[in-house]
This record gives sequence, C-alpha cells and structure tokens, in this order.
Amino acid sequence: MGPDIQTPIAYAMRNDRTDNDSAHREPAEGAAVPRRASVPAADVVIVEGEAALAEMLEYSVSNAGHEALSFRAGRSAIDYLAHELPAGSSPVVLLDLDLLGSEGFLALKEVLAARPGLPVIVLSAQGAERDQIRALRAGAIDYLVKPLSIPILVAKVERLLADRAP
Amino acid sequence: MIELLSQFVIAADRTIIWYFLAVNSFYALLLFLSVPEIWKHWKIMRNEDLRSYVGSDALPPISILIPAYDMEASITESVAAQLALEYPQHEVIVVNDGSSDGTMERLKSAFDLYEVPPAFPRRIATQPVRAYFRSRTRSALLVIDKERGGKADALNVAISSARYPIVVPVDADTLVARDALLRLVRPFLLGEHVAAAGGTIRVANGCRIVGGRVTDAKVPSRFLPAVQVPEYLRAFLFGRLGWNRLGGNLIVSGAFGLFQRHYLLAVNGYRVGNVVEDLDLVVRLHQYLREQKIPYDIPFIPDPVAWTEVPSDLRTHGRQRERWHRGLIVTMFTHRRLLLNPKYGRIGLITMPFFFFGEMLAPVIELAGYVLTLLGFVLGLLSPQFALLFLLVALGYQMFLSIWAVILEETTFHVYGRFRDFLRMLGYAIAEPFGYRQITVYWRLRGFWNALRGLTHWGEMRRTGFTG
Amino acid sequence: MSATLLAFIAAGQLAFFVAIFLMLVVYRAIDGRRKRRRRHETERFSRILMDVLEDRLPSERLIRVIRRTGGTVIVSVLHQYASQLRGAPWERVVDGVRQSEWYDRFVRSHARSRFWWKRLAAARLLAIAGREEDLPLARPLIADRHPAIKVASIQIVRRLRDPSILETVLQEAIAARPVVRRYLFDTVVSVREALVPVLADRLDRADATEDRRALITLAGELAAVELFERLLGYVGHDALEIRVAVARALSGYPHPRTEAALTGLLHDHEWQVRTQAASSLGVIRARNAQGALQSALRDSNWWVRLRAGIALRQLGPAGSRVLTDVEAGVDRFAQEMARYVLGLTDEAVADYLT
Repeated sequence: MGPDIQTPIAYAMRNDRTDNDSAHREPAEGAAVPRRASVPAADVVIVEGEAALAEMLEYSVSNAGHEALSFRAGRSAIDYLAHELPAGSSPVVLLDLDLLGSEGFLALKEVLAARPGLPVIVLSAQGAERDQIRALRAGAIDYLVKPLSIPILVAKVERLLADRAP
Repeated sequence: MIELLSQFVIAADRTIIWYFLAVNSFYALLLFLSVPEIWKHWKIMRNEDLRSYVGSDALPPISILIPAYDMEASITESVAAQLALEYPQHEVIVVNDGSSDGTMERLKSAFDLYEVPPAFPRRIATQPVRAYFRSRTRSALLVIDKERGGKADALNVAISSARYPIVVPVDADTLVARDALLRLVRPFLLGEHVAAAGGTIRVANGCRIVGGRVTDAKVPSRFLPAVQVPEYLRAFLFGRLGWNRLGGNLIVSGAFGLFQRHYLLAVNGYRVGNVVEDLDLVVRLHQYLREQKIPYDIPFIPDPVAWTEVPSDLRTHGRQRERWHRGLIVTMFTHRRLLLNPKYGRIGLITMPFFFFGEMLAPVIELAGYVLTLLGFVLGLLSPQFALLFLLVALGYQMFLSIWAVILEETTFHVYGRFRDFLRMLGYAIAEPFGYRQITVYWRLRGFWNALRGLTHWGEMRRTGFTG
Repeated sequence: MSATLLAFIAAGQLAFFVAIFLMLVVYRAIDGRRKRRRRHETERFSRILMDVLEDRLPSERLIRVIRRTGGTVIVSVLHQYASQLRGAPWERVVDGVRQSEWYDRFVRSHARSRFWWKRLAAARLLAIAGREEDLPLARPLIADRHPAIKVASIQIVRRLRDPSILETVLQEAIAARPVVRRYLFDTVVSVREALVPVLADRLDRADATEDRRALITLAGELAAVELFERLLGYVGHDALEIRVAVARALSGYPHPRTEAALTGLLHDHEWQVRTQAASSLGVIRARNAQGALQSALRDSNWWVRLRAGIALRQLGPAGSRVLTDVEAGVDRFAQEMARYVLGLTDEAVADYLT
C-alpha cells in the first residue's frame, strides 16, 4: 500500500512503531520515528502530506543518487528535525506547512531554532506575500506556493544538494 | 502599302502602350496595397506587449541553412554572425559544397570542429556527403562536408539534417540583421498558416559593415549599385508587399527566407539544375499545397532584415539578370500547368499570369515598342506626340513608381537616415529609365534567347533519349 | 492621341510628383512636431507619476495631468512603470488613474471599437490597470478575432484571475495556432493557483481530441500534482496525438508510475509516441529504464534512436556505460547513434533538451 519505490531507510522507519507517544498525536497512517541515534543521515527530508507529491520527490532524489527520508505526518517530522537529526548532517528539508495546520509557522521556527542554517524549502497553499516574507525572514531558504511546479521544485532541491556537496 | 504599314505600326504601338499601361498600373496597385500591409506591421512592431512575446519560448525553433562554395574569405565571420542571431532557439548548418579553396580548413580551425558519425537522416537524394562535423565551442553548429553538387543540392542535404521544424536558408554572403529571425517569424505570432515567409533584401554596397552586420546604411556612390537601390525598393520590397494582399508571393528570396521543413520534404526539396532554385521551389510549394488543399500563406515581411552585395560591374550584373530571366522562363515553362488554371486559385489566375505576361514577356514587348516607335517616327508614320506618349507610359510610369517607392521607404522604414541619401535615391529613380532600364532589357532578352535555345536543346535531347 | 491629352498626362505626372514631394516635407515637419510634443507629455506625466508614487504630491495631481495628456502617452508610461512596480504602490497609482474620467471614457470607447489598434490599446490598458469591474469588457478582448489583441489582452489574467476569464483563455488557446497557443499557455501558467482547478475541470469535460491534446500539453507544462491522475488515465488512449501529448506531459511528473507508463509507451506501435516516451524517460532520469532505452537504441526509426541515446546520456555514468557497450555491439544503426551521442559535448546534449 505504500509507495512503489522506497529508500531503505524510509521503509524501515515507516514500518517501525516503537513510539507510543506519536500514536496519540497523529492520524492512523502517520509514520513513527524510532529513537535510534545511529540513524544514517538522509540527504533530503520530505515532510509532505500529499502522497503523490512525496513519492515524486523520493523518486527524483533517489534517481539523482541521494537518499530521501519521508514523513507523512507533521509532528513526528518536527521532532525528528529538531531533536533527532544526526549531528553533522544538514539535509535539504521540504516542509509542507499546511500539514501542521495553524501551527505550521511555529513548527518552522522550532526547527530552525534547533538547527539554524538548515536548508528548508517551505511548501504551502497559502501564497500571501506576508506569509512568504514571514517564512523567509524566519530562515527558510525558499517558499513555493501550491499548486507548484514539480520540475522547478526538483531543480531547486538538486541545486541545494549540489551546493552542499563536499 | 504604306497605308497598311502605317496602320499596322500605329495599331501595334497602341497595343504596346496599353500593355505597359496595364502592367505598370498593376504595379501601382501593388504599391497601393503595400501601404495597409506596412501599417499593420508597423503597429504590431511598436507594441511593447508583443515585443515581449517576440523573445519568448513560444517561438518555433529554427535551423539556419548556409550553403557555401569557395567562401574562405568571409565564411567564419558569416557563420559567427548567424550563430549570434537573437533568437530563443536556433541551430546553424553550414554545407561545404566541395569547395576548392580553404573554406573547410577555416571552419575547422575557427570553430574547433570534430567529426561525428553520419548518424543523420537522409531524406532527399544528393551528392555524397564526405563527413559531418560538430563544434566543441559552439554547440548549435553543424558542418557538413560534401562533394560538389550546386547550391540546391547543398541545401537539400542541410534540409535532411536539420533538427527543427522551421528552416531558414541563407546565402553565405548575405548580411543578416541581429533581430531578423524575430521579425521573420511574425506571421506565426499572428496565428497565420505559414508555409513559407519571405525576407527583405536590401543593397549592402556602400554601407558600413562591422562584424558581419550593417551598422550604417548609405546609398552607394557608384552609379550601377546605386541605381539598383530604388529598383530593389520598387520591385523587391513594396512590390512584394502588395502581393501579400493579392494572394501570396511567388518568390521567397534564396538569400533569406523561411520555410516549413515538412513541406520542403514533401516536395523533395530544391530542384537541382534550375538556375533560380528559389523561384522554382516556391512555385512547387504553391502547387503542392493547393493540390493537397492545405490552408496556407506565404507572406512577405517588410522589415529590413538582410543585406547583400549587388553587382557593381556591368558584366556580373549582366550575368545575374540574364540568369534570373532565363530561370524565370524555364520555371514558367515547367509549371505551365498552373497558368490560368482555376484549380490553383489566385496563384493560377493572378500571380502566374502576371509573371508570365507582365514580367517574362516584358522585355520582348519593350523591344518591339522601341523598334516600332523609332521606325514609325523615322518613317513619319507616328507623330512625335505619339512617340512621347509611348515613352511616358512605358518609362515614365515606372520612374514614377520608383519615386513613389523611395518616398514610401523614407516615410516608413527610414533606413537611410541622411536626407542626402534620400535625394540621391530620388535622383537615381529618375535616372533609371534613361539607360539602366534599357541595359536590363538587353540582358533579359539574352536570357530569353538562351532559355529558348536551352529548352529546344533539352527537347532534342529528350527525343534522342527515347530513340537512342 | 492628341497633344492636349499628352500634355495632360505629362502635367498630371509632374503635378503628382511635386505634390508628393511637398507632402513629404510637410509630413516630416508635422511628424517632428508631434514627436516633440509626445516627448514633452511623456516627461511631464512620468515626473508627476513619480512624485505621486513617492508621496510628494497627492494623487489628485495625477488626475489633473491625465486630463492634459494624450491617451497613447498615458498608456505607454503606465506600461513602463507597471513592469517595474507591483503590489501596493502600483495599486495606488491604479486607483488614481481609475478615478479620472479619462479612464472610463478611454476603456469604453476603445474596447468596443471597430478598429483593431484601438482595441489593442484598450487591452494594454486593462492589462496594467484592470480591476474586477472591467471583467465584462476584458472577456471579449481575450476572445477577439484579431490575434494581436488576443495576445496583448492575455496579460489581463495576471490581474484578474477570475475563473470565467481563465475559461475564456483556455478556450481561445485551444482554438489558436501552435505558436499563439504556446504563448497563451506560457502566460497563463503564471497564474497557476487559479488555473489548475479550471484546467482540471475543462480536461474532464473535453470531448474533441484536439482540445484534449492541447489541454494535456498545458497540464504537462503546469506539472501540478493535482493533475497527475488525470494524465495517467490517458496513457492508453486510441489517438496518436493524445498518447504523444501524454508522454510529453508526464515528463513533468517524476514518479514510479510515470516510469512504468513511459516504459510501456516505449513499445507503442507509432514512432512519434516511442520518441516522446524515450525523451521523457530521460527528463525524469529513470534509472530503471536503462534496459528499455538500450533496446530503443535498436529501434527502426531514427528519431527514436536519437532520443533514446540522449536519454541515456541524461542517466549519468550508468547511461554512458550502456552507450559504450552498444557502441561495441553489432547493430550498425545503434552503434552509429551511440557513437554520435557519446561524442557530443555537454552543451550539445543540453541543446537537445530544450
């Protein structure tokens, strides 16, 4: 029932339900995050509720030779990003603000407070200029309004990955 | 007896006068019709919204085709200029038609060419290709080296190898304006069914040329090239513009024109062996498209877009005019089926007949006119007024049209900025019928004679072919 | 042929010539004066516009100067500033302009004019200062039969994103010739948020093949995930043009299902479909399609081989390895194409990708 292509890590994580707490906080098909400190870093972290979009991002990222980590529910994603991201890693993050409802912006700030400099691309159906400015001022590296152009998003992700490469 | 001769001469001369009246009035009609055409293009050219449209991705990609033979002196500059044209997406294909000089070497060194396998489609039969080359520095360039086969043959190879659906054949010595392609595709922007589009050719002699482009337009100082300036304006600019309204152009200049590639392939490209391959091609296009009942248009774009050196000595000039007229006759003969044939619409009923009677036969009738008028005048059969009338209608009318064309150019495109140039063009327009015109008549008659000889010769060959 | 007739003709020609010459001199004088006045008006209007923008003058001054300026000047100056400003400051200017009587008069008289250049001017004005109230005038301009007006008025959608306007635009685009259609699409893509639902609905309702094909092309250019399922539904369509359009459109949707669909289309019986499928597989960098692309290098059609080769180049080192293998293989045409593609510089390959 899941996506046709999965990166090994994403698959493992999605089917691991060691966290009871998250079972309360998120809907049935939420992904749980194991609290393993030795999780290898992914190059791209995708926090997106729309299945097809998330799958497309995973597909592109993996075709480009990188690893992707995918979350379908917001809270666990924020926890992971803010608290469990391996120390040296700085993955490109695609964050769907709408997934967290009205708390989206606060979640963004939480992540960036914990990991300043993390390259976060915000995706949202709210396209008002002041929302965009707010997110960018908070530290997001880019803001794309939905419905967005998939090739453009993919190109931006690849650009950030290329910039980051050693 | 004298009575009979006198009546004959008067009647014949009168017919000839009516002929010239008709032909020149038709030309006047063309000039008349060119005005709303220019107005339309003018308004569109100056609209800023449309200007942004002009540089957009919506434009069809173009393959530029350059046949080159023995052009080592200017080929690199010319190709570099074509590569630098302002256009969202285009490629340049240069065909070295078995040059005997260093054309190929110049290209190889200037563009760092490397050979690629002959992985290109060959849709039209041509002389063998020796090699294909691409450039390490200019990715849009393709160079084809082939055995000599003539300009038409070279263009056919280029058409086969072209990547894009629109092709623009350009002569290697034509100077193309930077935004020429953007202007040439204007009919596409207006949603017309474009099968081909003609570009304007202007006289480059006397102009300041920097880096393969005309930067300052001037009327040449020597007589022969200068007198061709109003001639080109009258016949090749405003005249052709008028045809836009009358049903379509029969000539898309070989020096610079645009075609839909798939139509060219459908008519099997240029015909090898025809000296005016561009005229022959367009007539065949008209024929094909009408027979297939495909809606189409072959407009002429008035913006100044391409410049070429016109012959500045009598001999080259003579050869050129003789060749043009000979080619016209051969083409008319080859496509005689279209003449006055309603199946071919306006092309058959208006354009072809005009070219046949008004252009092709003109030098013969003009010669007859001179002879009869002179004879009649000398023999006292015609009054001096009559003779003068003949001159006015045959020559004066055309001078008047040339003047009109010069004025139209001055008020619209105004390419020649200096008032002095305007006055000189007027002067040459007035001087045209006093000598220059007669010279062209002579060359055209030679073309006529050669064409008739060639046609009968060809006819003989055919006969021996059958029996032999 | 009497002498009088002759003299008449000669005199007529001479008179005409002189008249035209005089007309020319007069024309140049008038034209020069007209240009000078225009320049003066443009400068004055621009100056006051800047002052109002920077709050040095109240917007009433704008209305006053509009009264004394020619319509063409106003439109062209506004057009110039519209391309540099946006958002609140521009809307203040628009407020001022709309309050002048000139605006209503100009728009009403020009938008419905018999003359195409007047309608063109109205379209330009609405594109830079149009508001919702102008919708009823905007719609017929977009549907105007003159292509230049159609093209100029399409910019109106950037300001008025009403679904009914977008419907009209889609309708016009579908019926337009290829280059015009592409331009209309390119413009309308910039208002994607409003467009996607309208397009989705229109696509569902389309019945003519040509309509559907055009809409599928647009959906591909939008590459909005909301349209994905619909596109996948057309993969098996009967019409050749539809399958080609879908193959192309899917290149904007990198997804395992896309890869499967395109790999299937790589075996289509029409070469145009196979060509486009190969092309799109390259665009989405479908690593798993290597095998399929390798067989496509042996296709009987030249275009399919070319696109398969280019696609393999886009798969990076793995794809280049496949090309090298084929180059050493037995199939002559595949060999030639592989060698050609391998020998291309990166810029040359990039040229094939636009």
